[in-house]
Amino acid sequence: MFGKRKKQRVALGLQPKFMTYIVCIIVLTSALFAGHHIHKLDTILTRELEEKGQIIANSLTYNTKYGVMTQNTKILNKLLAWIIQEEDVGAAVIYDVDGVVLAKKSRFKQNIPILVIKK
Amino acid sequence: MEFKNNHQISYDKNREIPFLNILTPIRTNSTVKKQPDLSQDDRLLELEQKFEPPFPQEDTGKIIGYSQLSISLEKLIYEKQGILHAGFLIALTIIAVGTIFSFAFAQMMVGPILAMTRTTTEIAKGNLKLRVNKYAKDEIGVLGECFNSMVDSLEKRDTEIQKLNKSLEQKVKERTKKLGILNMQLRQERDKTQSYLDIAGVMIVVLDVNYNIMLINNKGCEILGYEYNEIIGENWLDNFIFPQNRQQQKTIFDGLMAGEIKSFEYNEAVLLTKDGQERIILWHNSLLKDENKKVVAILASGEDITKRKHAEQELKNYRIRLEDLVKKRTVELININKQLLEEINERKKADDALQRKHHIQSALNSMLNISIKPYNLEEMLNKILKHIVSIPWLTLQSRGAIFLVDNTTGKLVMQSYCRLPENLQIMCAQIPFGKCLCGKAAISKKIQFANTLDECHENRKEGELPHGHYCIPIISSDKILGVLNLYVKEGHRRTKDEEEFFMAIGNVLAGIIKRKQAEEGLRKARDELELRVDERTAELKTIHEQLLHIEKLSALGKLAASVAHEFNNPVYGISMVLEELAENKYLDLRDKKSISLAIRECGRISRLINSLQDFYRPSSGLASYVNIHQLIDDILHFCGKKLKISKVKIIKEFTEDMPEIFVVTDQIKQVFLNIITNAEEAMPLVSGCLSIQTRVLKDKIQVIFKDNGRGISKKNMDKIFEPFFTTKGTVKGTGLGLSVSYGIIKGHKGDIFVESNSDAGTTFTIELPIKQSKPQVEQAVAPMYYSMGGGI
Repeated sequence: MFGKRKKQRVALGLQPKFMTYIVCIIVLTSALFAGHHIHKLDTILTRELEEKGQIIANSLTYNTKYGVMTQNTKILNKLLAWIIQEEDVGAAVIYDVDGVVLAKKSRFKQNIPILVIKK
Repeated sequence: MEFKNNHQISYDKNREIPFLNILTPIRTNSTVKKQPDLSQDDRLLELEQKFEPPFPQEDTGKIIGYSQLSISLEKLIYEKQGILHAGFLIALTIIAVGTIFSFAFAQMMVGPILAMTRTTTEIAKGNLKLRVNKYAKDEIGVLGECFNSMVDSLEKRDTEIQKLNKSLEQKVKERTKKLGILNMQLRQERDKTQSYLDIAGVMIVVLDVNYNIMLINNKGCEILGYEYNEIIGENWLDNFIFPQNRQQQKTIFDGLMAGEIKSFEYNEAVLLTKDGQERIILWHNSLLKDENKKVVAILASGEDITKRKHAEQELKNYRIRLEDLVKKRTVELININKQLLEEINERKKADDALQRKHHIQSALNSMLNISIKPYNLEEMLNKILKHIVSIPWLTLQSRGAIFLVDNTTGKLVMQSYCRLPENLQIMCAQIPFGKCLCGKAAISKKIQFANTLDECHENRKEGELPHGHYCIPIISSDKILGVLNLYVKEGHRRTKDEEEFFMAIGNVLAGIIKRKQAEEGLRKARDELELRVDERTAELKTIHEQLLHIEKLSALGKLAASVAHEFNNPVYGISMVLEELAENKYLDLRDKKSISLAIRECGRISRLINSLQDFYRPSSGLASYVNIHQLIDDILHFCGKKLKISKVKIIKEFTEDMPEIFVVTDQIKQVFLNIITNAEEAMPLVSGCLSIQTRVLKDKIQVIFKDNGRGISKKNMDKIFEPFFTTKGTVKGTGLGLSVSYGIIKGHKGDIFVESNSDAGTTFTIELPIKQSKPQVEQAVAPMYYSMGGGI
């Protein structure tokens, strides 16, 4: 009576199903964790770089005040030469109030990114 | 610009090296908080802990500049990539460890279930002795025990069923043996009956009460084309009777079973064979009843009469076709006869038409032959009319006339006639359009026909013999040229052929008349052309004479200039001698006066010679600023003697504020000389007066020469500026003076006007612009000597 029953083929066994389910959970968890971790690190690094930049920029601004007031490009160039020796600083530019470049220095051969000053 | 925390931060990621740009305003009073003396890393760490903006600046004070700090993001990106790689490695490690763990876990959970599955499969194959292994006492262990108890009960049931099967098989064997014997007897009976039915030459079918086939003989199978087994049990009406006969057969069977139809009655029905053919069967039905007289079956025997029926139908069709064919052939023969008759008639008509065309063509050819002979129009029309009235196959009277349209009077005028009495010639000499038959033909442009002297025949006389008319219009390009009038006998019947012929004659006559008229026109045009050639030749002759006169004047001018040059030197010598003599102290007063007079006269001769040379010299074409008053005085000096001889009084009315104008001097002199000479020649000998007036207008000057001469006639006013137009005769005038003057003034962008009155003389007004660019005058304007003889 059992002999006549047709053999039913199982598409996916219990063991692969178990494994697939657990592996999927692990993969998703690790991906989420890694993604979150990377994003957080990225944010921290960027923020730190911006803050470091702001500190250097403040220092530069404070020191260049008299140079800008007297339009003394010699002093400004010296200051810029000193400031670009700082780690990560690629270029520095000093503009007057009308956006005219008074001094600029760059560590790289490529052109310094000149910003358009809007009043 | 807006600054957040005194900074404006932007990213420039499109470059080869990406930058973080920090723009900070530089203020006049910005201050930086004093920072502890820490290293940069410590300071950053401290700032991160405090979460405060580093180096806070006061954002007050005036902005005096901006500082831009560009921080390279290269290192940041590199660090980020490192973090990303580390993250990936960690994630991969977690996944690998997790996979191993999940495999082990799955093995532990699924192992007992897999073992139970294998055991179950074996039991299902029939091995009921197998049992599931015992595992720990969890849910899977309980399941295994339940399964084992289920297999135990199954094994007991299987043993019982096997015992029952054995006893049942024994009973079936006994029953099968008995049935075999009965079946054999039944088969023998059936075969016997079947053989009886098969022997019969007709189709025999046994149907049950539902008309299902119970039995059929070989003949029936053969007719239907089915195997015996395919037919038995099938419904007779639904499967084998032609659909249109089904209802009829059902009615017959129903009637037979109800006793309404007798068994010996025959009927025809159409059967459908296996291959779709239709077979016509003549049926005889009878009923089979059981011992209780209950109808159990219908016995139907049928004879296949298909071939016989088809043969009858074919015979019938053949007869019908034959009858149709005979009818068709009869109709065709009748039609052919009709066509033959029509063809014969058409041939006759064509022969007649051909003959008529031949006659018409001959008549037209004769007319055309006459037309090419060198007759004038009237003679030619006479000849043609005689020819038309003498055509033998036309039933005309030998009388007729041809009228042509006179364009001046708008009437028909008789140009030729044939055998018309005199009174008719006079009466019908001119016929207005619309009057009588000819006038009606002319106005309607259609053939007018009358076979008797009725009201239409307006021009008729008392006692005239009865007759009729064909009046044929002669039309060319829809224009009526004339009318051909032909006489016919009274009661003559007009025919279409005659009218067509007359229309053809009308067309040919129109062509001939048109050609003759064109020839006449051509002849007239030739005469006119000859006349005009003569006139032009005379004109050319006059012009030639004028040119000869100009040549003579030119030669005279050259001679005068050369003689003047030769005179200049001796006159100069005489003048010198006379001046020396005048200085002699011993001369008395009378001699001194004479010598002084001689010196003045020498000067006058010298100036006259210079003037002559100036006038002969061709125009330089070079413009210069000139005092126009001086220029007029020079001209008056030049022609002073002539004016004095002619007793012409000169009145000068010069304006005081005359500016110098930019002109070619010698050309303007020429213009003034022409006008003064013309005035002098036009004025009377005794009381001639020439007034010369100058004016200054807004942007031009005016010089007005007014004389009291005989003036210019109105008919000549339009021609005076035309070249070679003169009223002085060939010897005196060239006709070029005013023409050249007009050209010079126009070349100076000026204008010249003339007013003339036969009583008050002529006024020439010359306008010249005060300021102008270089005058557009031709270099080689006609030399001065053209005007020496005067203009008009």
